[in-house]
Amino acid sequence: MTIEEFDRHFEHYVSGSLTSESSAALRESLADPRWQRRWRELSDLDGMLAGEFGVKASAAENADDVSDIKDARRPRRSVRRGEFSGNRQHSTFGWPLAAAAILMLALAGLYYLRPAAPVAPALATLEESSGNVALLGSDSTQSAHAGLSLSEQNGLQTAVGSHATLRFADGTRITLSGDAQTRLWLHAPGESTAPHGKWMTLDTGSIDASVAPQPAGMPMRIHTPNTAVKIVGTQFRLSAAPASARLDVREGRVEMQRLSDGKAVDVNGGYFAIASADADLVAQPIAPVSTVAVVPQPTPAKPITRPLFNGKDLAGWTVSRGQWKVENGIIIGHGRRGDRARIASVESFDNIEMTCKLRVTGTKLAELQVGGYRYFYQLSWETPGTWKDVKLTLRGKEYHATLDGKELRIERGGDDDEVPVGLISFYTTENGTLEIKDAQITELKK
Amino acid sequence: MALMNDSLIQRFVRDRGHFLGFLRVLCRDDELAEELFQELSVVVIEKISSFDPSRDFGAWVRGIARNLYLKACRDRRIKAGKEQTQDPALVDAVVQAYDGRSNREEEELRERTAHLRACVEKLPIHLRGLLRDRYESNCSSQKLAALHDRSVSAVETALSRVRATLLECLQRQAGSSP
Repeated sequence: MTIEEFDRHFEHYVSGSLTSESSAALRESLADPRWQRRWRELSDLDGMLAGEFGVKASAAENADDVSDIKDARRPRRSVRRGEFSGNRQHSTFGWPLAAAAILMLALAGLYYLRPAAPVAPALATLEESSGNVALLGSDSTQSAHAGLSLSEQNGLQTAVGSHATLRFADGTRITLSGDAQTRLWLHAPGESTAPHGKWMTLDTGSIDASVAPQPAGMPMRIHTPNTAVKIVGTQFRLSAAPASARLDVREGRVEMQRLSDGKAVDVNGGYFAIASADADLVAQPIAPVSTVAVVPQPTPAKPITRPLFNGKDLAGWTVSRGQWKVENGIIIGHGRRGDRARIASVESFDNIEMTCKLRVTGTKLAELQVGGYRYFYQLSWETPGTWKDVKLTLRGKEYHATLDGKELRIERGGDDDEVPVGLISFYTTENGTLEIKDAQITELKK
Repeated sequence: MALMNDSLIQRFVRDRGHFLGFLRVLCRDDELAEELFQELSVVVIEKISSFDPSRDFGAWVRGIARNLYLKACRDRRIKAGKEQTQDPALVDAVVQAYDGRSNREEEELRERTAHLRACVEKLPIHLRGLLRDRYESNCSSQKLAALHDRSVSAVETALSRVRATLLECLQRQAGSSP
């Protein structure tokens, strides 16, 4: 990447016009200390320019008396703007230290005189945790351990390979999955105008929930970046990504609502739905249609098979390289000149068997990747253009794959700790085309 | 203790460009960044006595800023029913980019800050106008394109180049000062 390209990515980032491809490229480059340094320089300059042209950086500047400072304890004030000129009398960068000192002293006084903060009631208990689990507060983060009580505005974050189970007083349990970095926040029921039930936000990652029957008119609600789900009492799995979410309901019924247009769908046991901007929000059977009764009954004892793609669009998948489309139920990816093609699942899998048929043209190579680029299987064709059967089994940390029944050797890629370990990606080389069909997932018994 | 707190406050004041830049990058919403910067100033001053001097002060302030940002995002998103499309993995990568900031870089920033105005004044008038509209009026790229009769892409390129030019100028000026 050139400096010019990187600077443009910065501009796209701050102006909110970053595409998913640029986002992936930027994320990759930010692992490099050289680009981190450039990013800091650009960001510092951005802050300096904002200070110089616009922001009157703090309440301290206007702190003429103590009442002003009191107002500033939790400020939501309009910001005065200055004209840029060489004769500016109140440049932000001439910010008076004396005012800051006055503010400090006044706030220190107010701090010591303030009434004791009420202790927020506990909403849930951390029943079990393993690995790297953090308790998030509104302005602090600390290591979390079993037995800890969580109250409103507390969050839990699990790193890859770690997990945590929250237990509520009514027996509801929520497990933060260890196959992705997962962040879940608890809110006080009274923070919203909606009926006062349990309320959480899932910023990223996956949770498995077993929800005890909730009081009438007080469903439990979980928000993801683009979705709200409402639960009366059920078992389900919810996975959140920035622009999409997937809900798999094992038992009971969950309402899933897409925030962008308010469209909602009821998802019954044995069904799943994906909320994203570019796909219909509909409930689809997890099991093959023939095995789903009119009134769906959960069949936890039997393996559940479901399609990996919906056959219509790329909902639930993230394109990180090349161009991808769906034609006649076949997913087709093409690596453009100078670039490769790669598509990754939003959902992270564990204890599954994935089967599909793959075909390449314009190249002899493709890869099936697991957990980002941590591990991959190289798939080769002596005769491009023929369909080959691929089978991948993921059981915890054990991976196994075959191509047309032949054992494949697992290769170590690179560190990709930001990516969930159970993510599946398909990849092909520059100028190659990769087609995927009949892809399905069977959940294996644990 | 009071003296140490004073010096930390001064440091916060001196490095405000860095912290404001950090918040602007996180928020990508000028108005929210400004609100949070005000809130950050207050929280930092409130909590300054609990700062552990063995820790990196900049990282401590950025940690508070990040938590304020996350809280604001949750509040806004939930209250407005607004969709959030920011990639959390990218936000994490961005936040980590600040962890490698050295003392020398902090010094350089302070030196550069003193030369910002001189460097801006060396820019052609139309570019100064572009910066003013962007940073003073908080115009989006689309608005800037309409105001300056250029395509959005041309505006983005111009802003990128202006930043590169300013960084070069600031480096030169800081390098030539005694």
